[in-house]
Amino acid sequence: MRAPLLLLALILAQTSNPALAQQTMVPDAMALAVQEGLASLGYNPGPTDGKPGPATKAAIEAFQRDHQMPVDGLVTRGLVEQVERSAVAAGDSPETILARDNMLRSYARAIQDKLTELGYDPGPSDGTIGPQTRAAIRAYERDNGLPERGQVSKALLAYMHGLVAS
Amino acid sequence: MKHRTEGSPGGAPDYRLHAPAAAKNRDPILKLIGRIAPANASIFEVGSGSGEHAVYIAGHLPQIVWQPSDPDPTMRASIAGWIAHTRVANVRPPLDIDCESEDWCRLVPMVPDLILAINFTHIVSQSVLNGLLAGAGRLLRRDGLLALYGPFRFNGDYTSNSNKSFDHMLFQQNRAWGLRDLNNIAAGAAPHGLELQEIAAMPSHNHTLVLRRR
Repeated sequence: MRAPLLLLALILAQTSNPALAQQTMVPDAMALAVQEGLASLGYNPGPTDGKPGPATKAAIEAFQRDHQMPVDGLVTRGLVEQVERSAVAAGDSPETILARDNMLRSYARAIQDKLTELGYDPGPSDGTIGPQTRAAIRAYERDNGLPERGQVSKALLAYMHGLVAS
Repeated sequence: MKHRTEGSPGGAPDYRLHAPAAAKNRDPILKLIGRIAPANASIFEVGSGSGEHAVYIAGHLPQIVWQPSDPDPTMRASIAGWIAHTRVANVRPPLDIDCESEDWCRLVPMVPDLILAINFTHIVSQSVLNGLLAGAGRLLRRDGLLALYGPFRFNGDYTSNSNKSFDHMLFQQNRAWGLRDLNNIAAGAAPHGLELQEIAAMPSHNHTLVLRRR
């Protein structure tokens, strides 16, 4: 028992090394989502390269002012959500946003599995969004007093998993 | 997920965010805290998010003192908004605390009986999780508690298919995120004097891991 624990502790010690953590993280994913969202909303965040420069910072500050948010120009989870919510409000479909970030299939599959577990019938867990999956999403939304959209979205999965702030 | 609430009656900007899901797990978490913490507990929360758990639970346990925190300024504004809106007297203003460095514990102006992290460990990097464990070990007194609520793995196994595909989605979103294994957390906590006291089953295949300071 002692040896495996020691091994685990060593692995943990290695992954806690900031340099290694930098390699395994995708630190620019949030910046990219913000840039793409701000561009689709008509702000000018500069190149959509996941590297926030002065143009991105200025666009974030303008967005924050327009949305009565604290103005700091920083890329945070809270900002990503506000930008995506605004993009949806402006007419972007949540599925378009997920597809843009190459996340649609894994979200669809996670939602299918959750629906199946809750007793709905979204069809096979394959990440493909067909009529059966959409009908099951609508039924779930109806049962939970949510607006019936029948769409795969970050908001829906977060709701299903009780996420407060992601 | 969050919805911005309607404008406040006073005309001041209203920064409150609303996470509908908070309503689903707040009562089981309230019940657990009432059971494991002293009636007049000092509670420090990391990653408080919208702040709804803080005002709801503290509102139901009037003898406790609750110190919320979040590294995200949008979330801190929401927490402050909920405190103002509910006029709850025993939740302090939110602190800007990021657990990346274990020195976060020096910014907490209390010795908590309980440190709480709700839906935290799977959406932070391993280094932030290690920082939480190390800082908690330094901050807590003997018999002080650290409670981690969320989805976990046990000996590599998932507790449901939905948690498995959720984990896959988290990994796609950010390579540093993912459901943590109980063994990983226990091994990471032990060097900081924290030992597992209880694994409490919660609704929707979630658990609360309760660690006690030796």
